[in-house]
Amino acid sequence: MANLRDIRRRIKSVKNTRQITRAMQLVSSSKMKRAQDAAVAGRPYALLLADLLDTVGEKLDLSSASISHPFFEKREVKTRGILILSTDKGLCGALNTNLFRKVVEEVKGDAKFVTVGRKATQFISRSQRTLIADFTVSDKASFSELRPMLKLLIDAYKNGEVDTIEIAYPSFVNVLVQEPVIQSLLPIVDLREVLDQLKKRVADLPSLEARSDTREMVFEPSAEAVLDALPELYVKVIIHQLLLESRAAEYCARMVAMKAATDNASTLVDDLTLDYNKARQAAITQEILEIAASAAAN
Amino acid sequence: MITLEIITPDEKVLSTEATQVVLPTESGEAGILTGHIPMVTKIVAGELKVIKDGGTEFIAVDHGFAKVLGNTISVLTEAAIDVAEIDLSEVESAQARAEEALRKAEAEGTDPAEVERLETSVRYLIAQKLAKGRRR
Repeated sequence: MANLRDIRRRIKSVKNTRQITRAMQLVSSSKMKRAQDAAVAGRPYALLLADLLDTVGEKLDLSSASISHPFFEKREVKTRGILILSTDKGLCGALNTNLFRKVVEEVKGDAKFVTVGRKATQFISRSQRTLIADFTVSDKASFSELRPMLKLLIDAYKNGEVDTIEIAYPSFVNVLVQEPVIQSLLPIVDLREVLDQLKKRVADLPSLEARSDTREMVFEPSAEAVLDALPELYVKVIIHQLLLESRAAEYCARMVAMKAATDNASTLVDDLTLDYNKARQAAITQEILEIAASAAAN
Repeated sequence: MITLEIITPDEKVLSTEATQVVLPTESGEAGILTGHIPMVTKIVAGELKVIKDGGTEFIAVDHGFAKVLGNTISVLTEAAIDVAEIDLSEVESAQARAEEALRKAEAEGTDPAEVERLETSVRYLIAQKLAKGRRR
């Protein structure tokens, strides 16, 4: 039977841990809400972008064969460019581990990596892969923070340093399930598909309404010039939205992991309390026996 | 009256009514009044003028697109701030910091990502300062 004082100390330390894990659970649930709100706040932009693309599509042929733009060029893939969105901190279950396993399974050939989050940086550098750049993005994950990263990625693609741009991120299925996904962004196969993607992202908004004004649209400086600049915006806004989604997934995973830890701590406290009471009872019984024995001896 | 919407990836920054809106387009400033023909135009980093009964507001915007349809102007840009919200001293010190860092980076030849970030902030800060100065 363990020492009474030892058990008491143990109970106290487990309770402290439980307090911390519970606080972390609450913090992540409020942060998750914020990440989801941010993703929703970004939707009007995606919607307007889809609308612009749609408008240009009315004027020009959107099939990729007719567009000469670096983003549509199919090059021989020598080096894949992969952006990994991971977390800065651990304690979020198997979220990062699953993501990295997916990357190891799917990325076999030559690849260059850009990472967000300390965990991915550690993983890539430790596994001796080529790391081009490592960015840190604050909890807020505002678009302006991403701009240097987007610029770097798009430049690397344009000057042929990488032949694809793919994003590996934990996708948000629901609060309990996060699925690691590698999504290909560049080259763009079909602009129509892009449009569908954008519309899917803004699914819960009313669909693009019919035009109230039927006069012909004027493009300044030209429809081609407008179309030329749109794919880049698409890539940027999708990366931003995916980052927000991966943030929501992170907070969900952390919330669930911390909830499990809190529950485990509670069970442990119950068990220890039982042990403690047993030990106390045993000590009292022992004492009574001793007193009774000494009384009988006298 | 025309409705002006300014939308950035983070949020819908502004939605307001105006009698005239002046957009900084690639081929110079373009004033938009009610009944304008439908138009999609590229805009450059600069100031967007919103003219109302009460006076004129200036809004600093980064490059992007504007769509005029019906009596609605939708501006799609990566960053925008109402000039009134900009603290000029802060802008200036941030600008000085950015320019200082830029000079250093040029001298040391640091990575292009960092240089781009600083260039963007300098370009944007200058636009903000210009717009603010104009108002006085």
